[in-house]
Amino acid sequence: MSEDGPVPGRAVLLCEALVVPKGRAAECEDAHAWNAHRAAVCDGASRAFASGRWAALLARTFLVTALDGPDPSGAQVLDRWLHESRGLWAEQTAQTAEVPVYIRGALARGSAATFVGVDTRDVSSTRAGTGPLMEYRAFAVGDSCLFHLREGRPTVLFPLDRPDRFDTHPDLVPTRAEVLESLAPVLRITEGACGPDDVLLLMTDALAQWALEAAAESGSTVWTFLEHASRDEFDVRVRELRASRAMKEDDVSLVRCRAVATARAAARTPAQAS
Amino acid sequence: MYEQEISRRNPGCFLFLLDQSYSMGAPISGSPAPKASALAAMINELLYAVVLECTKDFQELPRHYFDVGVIGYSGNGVRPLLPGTSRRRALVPVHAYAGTGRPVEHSRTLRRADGSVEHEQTTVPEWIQPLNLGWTPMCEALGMAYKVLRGWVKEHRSSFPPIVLNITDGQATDGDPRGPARRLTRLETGDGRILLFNLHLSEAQGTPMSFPVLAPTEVPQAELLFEMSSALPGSLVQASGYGGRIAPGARGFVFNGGATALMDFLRIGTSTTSLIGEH
Repeated sequence: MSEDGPVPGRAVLLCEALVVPKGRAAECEDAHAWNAHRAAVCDGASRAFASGRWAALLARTFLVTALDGPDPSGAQVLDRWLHESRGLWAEQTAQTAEVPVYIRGALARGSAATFVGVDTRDVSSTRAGTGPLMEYRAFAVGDSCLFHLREGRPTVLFPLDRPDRFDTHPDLVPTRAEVLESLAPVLRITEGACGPDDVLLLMTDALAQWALEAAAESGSTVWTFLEHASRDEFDVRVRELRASRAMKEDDVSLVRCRAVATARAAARTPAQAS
Repeated sequence: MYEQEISRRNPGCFLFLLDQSYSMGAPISGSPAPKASALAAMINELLYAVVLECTKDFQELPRHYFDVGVIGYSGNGVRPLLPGTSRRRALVPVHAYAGTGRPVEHSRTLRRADGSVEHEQTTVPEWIQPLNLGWTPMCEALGMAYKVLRGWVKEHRSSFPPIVLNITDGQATDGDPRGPARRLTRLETGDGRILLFNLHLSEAQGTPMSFPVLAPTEVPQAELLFEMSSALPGSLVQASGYGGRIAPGARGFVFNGGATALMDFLRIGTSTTSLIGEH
């Protein structure tokens, strides 16, 4: 669906990331990446080995993998991404004999992460009047979420739309094929279109669950906050919410994406990854 | 109570008390292996599982989420068994013992879904050797546990309380263990009293009595171990995945346990490994 690099005169994604690790920044298990057409957020499973590395690898690989499997609209569409990610993981984690036994053991148990990604297609040239700039497909495994806001209100809550749907055992993208050969049983897909007044919010589970709880209790103010909060405001609020136990103690990542015309965005939308 | 997340700031603690007396040389129910061998194998497996839970990246040692100790009691006396431990320092952080196990080759046969068979060779560390020798000084072992953990609870007031897992196949030969057990379980952190769970291993075929709510008054030895055992906190039962199979108020106690019961007992007793929250 996407192409490499922005083309002048067309619509692209303009993204920014707000991250508040639960502990040391170097141990953050969340990862995000974006380019002009795709964005992804991943949350490494806390109990897994090197899950922050796996999350980062998944997010980065999502930007560059062709999403055109045998059935482009089917659940197997991301299996090539999974396969390539696993290949890179195997290369990067190839160990020598000097590694302690327990590192080899931890590697053998594998790693895992949740994932939400969005792949967009520029439709600005076909828009009439106030039509959409971009169409998108969003993919999710587990409880990392994409919330699509239009004029400050949610139009898509994906893949989870209620706070009570979060639990402690979300579906995961594992490194080991023996655990899950194909993503088909766990992959969720949705589609949508966004215009100049829309924002796509990709986020990890603690923030998503809190947002859905806050929206149920006090309406749209939470969406205004997520759409407009500055980095400092966001950081302070997340720490307050954790301290008051209104938000669970977890890494928090938010990636805000807007569809914009490239004349304005081209110079400001380099590929990003963490 | 019993809700504190495990973290480097508030680590947890496991202390295993292993009966290594002569009778542990008899086969364990449900397996041809001697009780001492089955117990050593499962403790090694568990020690390794704890290491793996704490291993988070290539460039760092296993994180200090737990302090761990293993105390054996037998005709050799009562002594800490983990490499690098001593009577004065019977507990060590996970990273201190992680690299000290003797590497042992294990092979297993895997049957694939397509019917093919694959042999897998893995290396696992072994810290504890089987032993079966002499008497059963359980009271002394509980006394050493008290001394070891008295300091630990003072230094870790905010931590989930230590879990002591006592595995035996007989009666104490050095007195009535209920007194030392009571003294031990009066120790506490701000999150609750020390938890003492007891498992009685058997060589007899028969249904084990697992996690009873009421005292088994018909067997005096079972009643005694029941009295010594702490109630299982709901948080542990849930964390272990045994919710629904264990009644509320059940004691951390198994009588006439075989290999399977031992595995369940250890799994439940160490399920705070899934309460690791970070930091």
